[in-house]
Amino acid sequence: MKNFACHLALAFVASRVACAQSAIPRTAEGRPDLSGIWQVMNTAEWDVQDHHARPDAPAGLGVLEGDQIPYQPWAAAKKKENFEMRATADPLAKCYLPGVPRITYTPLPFQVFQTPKQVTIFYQYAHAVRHIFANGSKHPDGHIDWWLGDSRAQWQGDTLVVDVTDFNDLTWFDRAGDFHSDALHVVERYTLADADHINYEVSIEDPKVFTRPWKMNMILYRHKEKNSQLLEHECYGFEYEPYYP
Amino acid sequence: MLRLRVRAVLSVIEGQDEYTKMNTRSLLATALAGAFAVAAVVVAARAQNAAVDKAIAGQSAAQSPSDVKTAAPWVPSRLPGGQPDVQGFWSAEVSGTYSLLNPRKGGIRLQEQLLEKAGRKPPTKPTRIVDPPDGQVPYQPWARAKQQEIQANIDNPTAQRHIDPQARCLPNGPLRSPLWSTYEIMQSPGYLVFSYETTHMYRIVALDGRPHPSQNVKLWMGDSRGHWEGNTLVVDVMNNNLKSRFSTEGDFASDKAHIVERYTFLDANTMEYRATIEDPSVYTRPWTIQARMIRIHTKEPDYEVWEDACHEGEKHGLLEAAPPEKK
Repeated sequence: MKNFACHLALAFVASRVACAQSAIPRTAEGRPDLSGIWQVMNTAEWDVQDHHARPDAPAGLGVLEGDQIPYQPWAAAKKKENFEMRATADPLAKCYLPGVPRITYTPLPFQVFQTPKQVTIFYQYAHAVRHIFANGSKHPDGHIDWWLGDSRAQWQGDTLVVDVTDFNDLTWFDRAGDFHSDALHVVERYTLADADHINYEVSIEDPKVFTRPWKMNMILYRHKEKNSQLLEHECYGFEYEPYYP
Repeated sequence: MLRLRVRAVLSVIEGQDEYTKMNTRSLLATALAGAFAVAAVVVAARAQNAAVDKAIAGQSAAQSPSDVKTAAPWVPSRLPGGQPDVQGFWSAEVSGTYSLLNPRKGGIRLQEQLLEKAGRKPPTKPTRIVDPPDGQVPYQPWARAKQQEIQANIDNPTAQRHIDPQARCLPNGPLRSPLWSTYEIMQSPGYLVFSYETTHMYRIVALDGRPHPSQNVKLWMGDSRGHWEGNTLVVDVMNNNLKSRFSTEGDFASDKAHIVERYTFLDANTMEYRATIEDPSVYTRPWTIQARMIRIHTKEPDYEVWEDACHEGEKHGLLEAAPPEKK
């Protein structure tokens, strides 16, 4: 009925914006409501670029805008070295926090809780949490080495724009050895395409490693299974479990 | 990582973090040995206890437990969806999980050892266990022996099991988490979330009456289902792997444990926490702990939780990347 009314309104040259707005959930304040359990359906965790199957990765189309990550020459060599050593050198092989945006596509589910001043994301991976402050506050002074960076958000129209800085230089973008320095600056854009899909766009900037900024694009899918919930992935605990039967 | 290092230093000064205790104990014992140091620690311990007692007295002065019984029930504001609004930051009034019977933070243990060496008796606090009446965990004989064996070997562990899982940054489990870490309560329709500040643990409590997953699924933080009874949030916790412990002293349950928590909000800033643990494979009867919780950061509306990367700090920050000491 809502759709019918919407199409009817369009037929009379009414606001297309109003129809688009009616299709997504909204908070009491009128912001898009990102609450829910979400997960990617791609192979970016294994390799953010186009890749065919290999023994330790399923094939997949990349999530980049363009075909290649614009590495500086030294960094391209370093990535190649990382790739060769990936089985042990990948920070996730030690169950470290994956950094941003990798934590979005680990590819485990995550749950979003939203208030007017904060968006909090709880990840199944290692009980990781991102407190994304949306109260107009700035990044803290000085560089701080954090695994998941410091996240400050603002709404631009119906898009949640998250500015993330203060990373350490220890995380990778994927299991293929794609990497960055502590100068990494990430901007995430979360836009509800409809009630059950988020267009997730990420811009990556790191003048120490890349020749220019570059972007990723992917879709986050809402879990709609009955009784869907997060479980746990305490990978750092696996080695100790035998001691605590 | 930076923050972890700051905390490691603070823990030495304030006895804050149990997981850093293992690394700092031997160094400090050497540094502090001697009568002058003992005297200094005695003074520091007294000052700390006085400060804690003063803070607790200040927090409780407005409403002592006897006042609560006679006062009219608190009328909380309601959130969309009908939940009482209890959002914000909370802490156990007496925090620390070194012991259930004498609750305190592990860092204080060093001060206690020095006091004991000086022939003085360290101060104690009342047991958290309110049932059974003797204030003890009602272990079956084999289980008591296991707990005591762990407790006897805390200071000089000779087996992996002697090491508190918490010291390895492993999750504290549902019952120990609110007694050890400050935490934020977040609420949205159908959910209440406990987000524990230390080691970024969380529990998402579903309030919609859905069943627990099958018992094939075992979880460090358990599976939590809640409902409100007036101002009391009742949380049923199943699917526990219980590889965590309830204290550094080795108090434990099995993965058959069933925990029921009751969070009774007495007023805007005070909550009574009770948890009953049932596990016929380990205990002779169910037992119950109780702890007063208080709202914190009330004068810091913009208080921010920052990253606490415990596992990473242990594995990378402290073990791999520590710079060589200058000679």
